[in-house]
Amino acid sequence: MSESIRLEDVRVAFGTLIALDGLSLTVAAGEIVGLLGPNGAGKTTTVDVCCGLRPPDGGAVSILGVDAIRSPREVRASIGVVPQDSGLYPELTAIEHLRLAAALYGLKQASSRTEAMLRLMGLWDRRHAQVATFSGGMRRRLALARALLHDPPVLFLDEPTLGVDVQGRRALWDHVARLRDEGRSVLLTTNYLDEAAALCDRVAIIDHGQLIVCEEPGALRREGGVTVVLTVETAGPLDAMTVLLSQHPSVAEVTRTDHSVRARLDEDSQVATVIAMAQTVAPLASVRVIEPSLEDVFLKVTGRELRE
Amino acid sequence: MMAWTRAMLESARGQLVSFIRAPVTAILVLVLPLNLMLLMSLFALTGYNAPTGLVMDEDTPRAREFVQALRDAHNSFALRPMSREAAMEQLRCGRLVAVIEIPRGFDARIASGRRSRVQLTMDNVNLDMAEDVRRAVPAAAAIFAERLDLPKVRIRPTLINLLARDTGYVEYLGVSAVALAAVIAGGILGGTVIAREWETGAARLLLLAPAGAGAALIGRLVAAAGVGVLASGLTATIVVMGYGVPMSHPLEVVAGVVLTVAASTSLGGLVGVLLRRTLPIAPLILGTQLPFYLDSGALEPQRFDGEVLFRLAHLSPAYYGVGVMEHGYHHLVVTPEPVWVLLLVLALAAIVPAIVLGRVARR
Repeated sequence: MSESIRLEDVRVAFGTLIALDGLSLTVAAGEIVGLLGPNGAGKTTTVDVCCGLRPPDGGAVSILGVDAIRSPREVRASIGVVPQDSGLYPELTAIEHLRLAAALYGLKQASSRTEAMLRLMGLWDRRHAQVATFSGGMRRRLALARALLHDPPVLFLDEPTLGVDVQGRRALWDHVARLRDEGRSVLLTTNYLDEAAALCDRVAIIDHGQLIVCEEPGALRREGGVTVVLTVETAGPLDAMTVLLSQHPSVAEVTRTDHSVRARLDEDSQVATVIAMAQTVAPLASVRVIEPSLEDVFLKVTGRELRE
Repeated sequence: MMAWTRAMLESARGQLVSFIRAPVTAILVLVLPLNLMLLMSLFALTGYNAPTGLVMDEDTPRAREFVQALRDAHNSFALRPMSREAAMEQLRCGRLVAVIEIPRGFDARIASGRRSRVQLTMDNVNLDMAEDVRRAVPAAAAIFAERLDLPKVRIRPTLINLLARDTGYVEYLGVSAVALAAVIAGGILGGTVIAREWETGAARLLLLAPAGAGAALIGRLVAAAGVGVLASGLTATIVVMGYGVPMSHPLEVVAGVVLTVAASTSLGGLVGVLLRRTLPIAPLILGTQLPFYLDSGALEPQRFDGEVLFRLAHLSPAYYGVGVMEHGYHHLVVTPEPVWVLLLVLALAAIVPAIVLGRVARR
C-alpha cells in the first residue's frame, strides 16, 4: 500500500517543553490510524505539523509524497481537517458554513457539492438552521462535511467525537468508517479506546511526544495478555492453586477471591496450559477468559492511566 | 466558620493567581483609572490656562499695572508676553486663544484721562473660550481703575476676529465627534471580528484554506468597516440635521468618514490578531482612543496642551479624522497638515495594517 502520510523523526519543542520527540509514523491509502495518548501527549501537535500549521524543529513530513514543510500550500489543498473545537460560527447556518468553505477552497461545483455533503451527513433538512441550535453530534457532522467538501484524499480528525453523546458518536463512526471505504487516509486522534478499537486499522500510542507502539487493535490486545478467571466449588484448594499457578512462567500475576483465582497471562497461547494446571489441583466449576482492553494495553506500555 | 474562611481565602488566592497568569483583565483595570485621570486632566487643560498672547507696545508703570490687573481679573487664561509678530503667528497656528495688545501711549493717555483702546484679537473657532478672554478685559479695567484710584478710567477693548465666521463650541465638538464615532466603531468592530476567529478556533481552518487566511480576514474587516461607516454616517447626519451644521465640503466629509473607519478597522484588526481574545478589545480601544481623541484637538483647536501630546496625537486616526471633519464641515484648518495629507495618512493607515495582518495570519 502506498503511504499517504509519512512522519519521520519529527521533533517539535515549545521552549523547554518537548512536544514531539522523534516521532515516526505512516498512514497508508485507505487506512485509518488512531493516534492515542493522554492530554498533552502531542496528538494535536502531530496534526498541526502534518497540516503545515507548525513547522517542526527537525525531521520530515510528507503528505501524498509532497513535503509538508516546504510546500504547505500544496499539501493543504489535498487535506481535510476537523479540528478539536470545530471552529463553527454559532450564528451562521449549516449551508452558510459550507458556502464559505467552498469559497475558501475555490470550488467550482459548490452548490451540488454542498448539497451532497449535507445530505451525506444527514443535515440537509437543517441546512437553514443556525449552528447555535445544533447538538454536539450535529456540529461535529457539519465540521466533517466541511472537511470533506473539497473531496480531500487525506483527513485529519482531531478528537472527532469529543463532547458528543453515545448516539452521536455511533453516527459519526459510521461516517468515518465510510471514508476508509472510499479509499481516503485518516489520521484520527482520540482519547477514547473504544473509538480507536472500533474505527482504526492501526492504533499508534504516543506519550511524551514519542511513539510507544503502533499495531492493529487486535495485536495490541494480544500484547496486553489475557486474564483467566478459574472458579471452584469450594474455597479449600484455592491457596494451593494460587501457589501453583504463580510458578507458571507465563503468569504475570495471580489473585484470589472467595471462590475463584484470577491469573493474568502475558501470552494468550498459554491459556489451555494454565487451565490444565489448575485442574490438577481441583475440578473447576467454570472458566472465563477476559481479553484486555486498550486501556490495559495503554497502562502496560506507558505505565500510566490514559486520562492522567 | 473556619472551613468557610479557608474556602473563601483559597478562592481569593486562586483568583489572584488567575489575574497574574492571565493578566489582560488586571492590566486593563490598572490602566483604566490612569486613562480616566488623564482624560479629566485633559478636560482641565482645555478649560484652564488658555494661552493668551500679551503684546506690550510700551513697558510703563501703568501698562504693567494693567497687566497685573489682567492676571488678577481672570484665572482661566495664561498671559504669555511676546512680540506682535510672534503672537499673530501663534494665533494662526492655534497655539493661542487670543492676543491682547497694550498700545503705545497707554500710560500717557490714562494719565491725561483720555480713552485708551486695548486691542483684542480672538481665534473665533471656539467662541466660548475666546469669550472668557473678552470678558476679562473690562474686568481688568475695573480692577486697574480701583487700584490706581482713577474713577473715570476708560479702557475699551477692540475686538478683531481671526476668522470671518464664528464657530460655536457645540458645533465644533459635534463635528469632531463624527471622527470619534468612526474611530471607536471601526476599532472595536475590526478588533472583535478578527480576535473572534482565534477564539472560536475558526482561524485554524482559515489558515489551512488554499486561498489563505488573509482573504478571509480582510473580508471580515471589510464587513466590519461597512457597519462602522453606517454608524459613523448616522452620527455625521445627526450633526447636519440635529445640530444644524451644514457641510462646507461634503465629499471631504464622506472621504473622511470612510477612511477614518477603514484605518481604525484595519488597526483594530491588527490588535485583534495580536490579542486573539475579544474581551479586551472594546476597553482597550476606548481606553486608548479617548485620550488620543482629546489630544487630537477635538475639544479645542488650540495647541496649548504641549508639543509632546500634540505629537502623540498623530499616532491615532482620530487626529487625522478630526482635521478632515473640521475642514469638511466648517472649512476650518485645525492641523498643520493640509487635508489631502490627512486623507493620505488615513488611507495608508487602512492599507498597511491590513497587509501586516495578512502576514501575521500566515503563520
